[in-house]
Amino acid sequence: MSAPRIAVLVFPGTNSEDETVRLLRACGGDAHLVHWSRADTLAAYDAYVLPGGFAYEDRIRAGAIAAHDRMVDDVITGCERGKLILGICNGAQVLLEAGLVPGTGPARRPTAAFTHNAPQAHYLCAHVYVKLVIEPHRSPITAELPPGAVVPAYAAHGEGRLAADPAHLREIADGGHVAFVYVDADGTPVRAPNGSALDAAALVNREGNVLAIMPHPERDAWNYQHLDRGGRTDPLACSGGAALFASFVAAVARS
Amino acid sequence: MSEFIVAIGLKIPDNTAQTALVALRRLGVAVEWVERCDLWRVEAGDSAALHARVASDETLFNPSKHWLRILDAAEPGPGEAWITPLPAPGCAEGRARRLVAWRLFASDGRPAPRETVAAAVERLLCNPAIECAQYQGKGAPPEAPK
Amino acid sequence: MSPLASDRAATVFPVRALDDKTLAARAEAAGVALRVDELRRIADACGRDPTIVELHAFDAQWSEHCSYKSSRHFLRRLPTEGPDVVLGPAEDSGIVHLGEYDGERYGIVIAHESHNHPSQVVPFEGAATGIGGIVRDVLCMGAEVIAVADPLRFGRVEERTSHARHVARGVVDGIAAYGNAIGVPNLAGDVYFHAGFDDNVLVNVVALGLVKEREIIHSFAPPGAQGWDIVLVGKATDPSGFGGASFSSLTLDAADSDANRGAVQVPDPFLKSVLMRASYRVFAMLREKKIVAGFKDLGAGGIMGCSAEIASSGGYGAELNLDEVNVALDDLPAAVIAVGETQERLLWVLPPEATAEVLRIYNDEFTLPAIAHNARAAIVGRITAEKRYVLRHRGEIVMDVPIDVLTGSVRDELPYVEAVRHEPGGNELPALDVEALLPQVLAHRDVASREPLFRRYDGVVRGTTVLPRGMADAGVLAPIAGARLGVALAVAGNPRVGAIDPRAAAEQAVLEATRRVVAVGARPIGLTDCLNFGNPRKADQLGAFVAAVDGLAHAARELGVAFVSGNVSLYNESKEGRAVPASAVVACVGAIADIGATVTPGLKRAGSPLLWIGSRELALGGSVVAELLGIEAPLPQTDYAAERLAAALVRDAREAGVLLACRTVSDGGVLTALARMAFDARAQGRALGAEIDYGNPFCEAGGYLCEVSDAGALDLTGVLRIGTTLAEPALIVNGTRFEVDALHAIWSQPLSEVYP
Repeated sequence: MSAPRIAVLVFPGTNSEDETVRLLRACGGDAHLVHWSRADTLAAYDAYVLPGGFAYEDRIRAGAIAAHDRMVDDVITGCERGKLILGICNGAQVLLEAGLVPGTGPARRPTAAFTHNAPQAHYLCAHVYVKLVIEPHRSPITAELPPGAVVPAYAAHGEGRLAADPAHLREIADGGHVAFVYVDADGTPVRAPNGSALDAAALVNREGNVLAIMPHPERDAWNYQHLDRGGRTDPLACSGGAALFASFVAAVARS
Repeated sequence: MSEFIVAIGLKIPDNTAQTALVALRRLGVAVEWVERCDLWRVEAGDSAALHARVASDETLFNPSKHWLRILDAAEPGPGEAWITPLPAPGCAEGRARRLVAWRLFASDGRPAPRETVAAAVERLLCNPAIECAQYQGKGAPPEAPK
Repeated sequence: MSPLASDRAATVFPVRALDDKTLAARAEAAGVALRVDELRRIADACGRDPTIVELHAFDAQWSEHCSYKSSRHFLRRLPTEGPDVVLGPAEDSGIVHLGEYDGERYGIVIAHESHNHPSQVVPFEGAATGIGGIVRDVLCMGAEVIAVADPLRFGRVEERTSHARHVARGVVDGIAAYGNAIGVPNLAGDVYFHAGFDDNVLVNVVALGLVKEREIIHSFAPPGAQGWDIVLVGKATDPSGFGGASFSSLTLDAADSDANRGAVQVPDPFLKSVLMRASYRVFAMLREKKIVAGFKDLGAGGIMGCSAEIASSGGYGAELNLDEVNVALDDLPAAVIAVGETQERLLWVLPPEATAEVLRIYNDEFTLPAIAHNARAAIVGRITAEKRYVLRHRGEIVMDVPIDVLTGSVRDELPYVEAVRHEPGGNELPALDVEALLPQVLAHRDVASREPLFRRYDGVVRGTTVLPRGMADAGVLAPIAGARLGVALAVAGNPRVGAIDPRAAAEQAVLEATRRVVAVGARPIGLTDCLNFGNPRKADQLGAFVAAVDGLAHAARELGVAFVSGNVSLYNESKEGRAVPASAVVACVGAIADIGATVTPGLKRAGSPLLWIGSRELALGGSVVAELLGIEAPLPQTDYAAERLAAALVRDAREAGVLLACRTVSDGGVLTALARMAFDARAQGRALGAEIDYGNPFCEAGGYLCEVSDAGALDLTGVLRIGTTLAEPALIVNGTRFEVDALHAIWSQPLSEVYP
């Protein structure tokens, strides 16, 4: 049996595919870009990663058109079969629009969204830390992280604020769907820089096989990306945000 | 002062409307054509002065790209769905409120029937977690928070 | 005999039968900027009256924007050669050698342009299309686009409702919207605010690309290209951007603002994002099949300008059929299809055996027609041996001219007066109240934190960013996966100095841009310039331009770095006809052999010596503090020998492993640089400060402020130790104590009002 293969989905407008596939490979994953015109090949993959960008120019709403793309048909089927799925930034928005996360409603009937930042609605690029607030084994994707792991990342989005109606928000909070919250470097909780409800940076579905994270761990995942935080000795080695990718790849290998 | 609705749409091909059309058909919603424009609810004295003011506002209106109309009716017409983003908690509303108007057409070239509009809203045009939809017979505009 | 000699050509513009006065009036009525003598030259070269299409083609091609007719001969004064230069300023971008990795030589492609007039008229779209255009300039060299930068010059934004504030916001939002969407990190840039830009904003844009040097694609039809296909790729041609080239060469008139808005193109970053990735795929296919092709971006002059230049620079002619062009609207006039400047288009010259595969990649694999209305790749013509430029439309020949006349150099020898050099005076330095001045300097519009602005830009997409914007004097990337090679980018150009002395400002721009690159541990390998000046038909304004070129040339020669690319933007004036402050904006690319050794500016630890490597002149001319105090003062003199020594010393300190932190000194002087080194440490969670004793803390004469671990390891001739770092977040300056947190709050605040 061959090693499990990870597909990194490329929609028109996706822009973070190269660094995502590069880090997955550095973490030992057999990762491949799958382009929208090759959607027919997607079903054969064992896990899916939806990277950042502006899929279909975020027409109608962030992630809305991509959520109805032919490629996401296979992602939804894969989710039902327990395949592991990771969405980052725009990929996270797509997973919420596709209803896979928090997964409290039917597919493609979203019950929450990552939407316009507040109180300032503009795009924000800022270094952040996020902290794992679920028990690591709650999701296979986070299983290799230590409890309460603090992961560095970059927020780089105009629409990263979790929003839902009060009933769904309660369901998200009570159902343990908030996987990561924004913290400072020491792990102390801070208000989300984008006004996100529950200060949530990432959500997980009930089954734990789908994780949607707004900030980009892959942009603070190599030593050269944080030279002054101990990155000088081996600038090309992985560290920081790579831990989440390594945990994902390990989970795929187990699956 | 009374409330007017300013409509601003694209003169150039609207790629978003085209994308919505393709996506709706893929979802099995029977539409032949889709149009879209931005609507702004604004308070103003009279319609002509408002038109002049918006036409000279470079942040809203570029004459080489947009058309501009002041609407008489403050309710969606046949085939139309108006989508209003829900305000973020704790955020004061601005003076003007922006919504997006969709107009759907059936294969006979007439405005799409209500059930088609309802299906389009439910399947694609509105995410109820963050937006509210208004179309003929459904929904009132969300109240501005006090 | 050309069919045009008959009466078949639909419309002809009468030149030969008209007297000068009538001809001038007709030309103006037709909306062309060509002068009477130019019109007569065109008629002579054609041997007949030009068609309407030819009229607009020459109008675009001979515009200042395309031809540099009043500036090109001065630009020859710039040094453009050197050991690091792979390709000088001949094509769409220059290329410098970055280094070798895994047996491959890598080049950095760099282009630098302005989008000033469009951004003044329609700030969001104008600035966005600026990014769109500069990205194409880099892409068409066969390069992967790896970074953009945006030197900006705005008017007075203090007033909430000022037009200048509206422009300043729209420009930033436009740059953000475009750059963020295409996924290219914004790595560097600067912004100055000055009343001289109230009516005429400067929006300069820089882009960097990465290319293997043996895989460069040139913007000319390659040898043997006779009969090859001309393939147009991208957005459907529409009426937007018609008249763009001559529009940007005219002074803006508020009354024409509405009409001018139509000349600004509509950006589509989503389509561009797909076009870029599709083009990368085409590059790979061509490489694999060892096919040489020509590739060029469509800019000024549209399809006509691009196809004529790609053909003629290869020594060929071209024949195109405008009916094959994908258009957004039916019934577009031939002239609009030919010279309109619709965005997001590129043009290939391909051997016929490669064409089908290229069309398949763009149209089928990357589904261009589904991305934007009628976007596609299509064959629109072919390269011809006969050196004529021919356009057909609806079965008729609407243009048929000798291609070398169309694309050949035109030159305007305009008179100018030499700019008066600023003579340094010997004023007494006023007594400076550091306690009162430091907070004012840090809150000054040219010093305050730029973060409210650049946090709207994605600075880390692609995952290659080592030092994002704002973290140091230059941005740094690790552009090659797996390699330790780094590339640094910085920009400079100070309008406070430009308003006083164009030549000194140009020299200073070169000095500051190179210093910023040196400060992060890079070796300067190439420069670009964008010369933003006034009306060349005014002798004093042209004189300022010439002085700036001389200043750039002198500084670059003294420092041994070449200009590999550049741009000229003229007619930047206020409504009253005053030129903007002389603005020679310079970008510098630096090479880093090992990104692990990149130098950062944050203070690292307590008890380290602080060294001031730079001028100790007491000259406050052009400085922030001179403006705050309302004093006139001499500009600092430049000592190039000392400058080279300073850069060498910074390098030596780094190579000796004793350089802990480094920042250059510019706006706000030595004390501002020190405060920022403390802020940089604070941002990394290190509560550090410094105690210094220095008599001239606000002078902007330039140099490096360095924290070193061991001063004994260095030859410190000419270097002043001005103080020591402290274990507490405080600055003690000549006995006066400041809290770093309080200073940081003052510095952080001002621009967040404009960019909330």
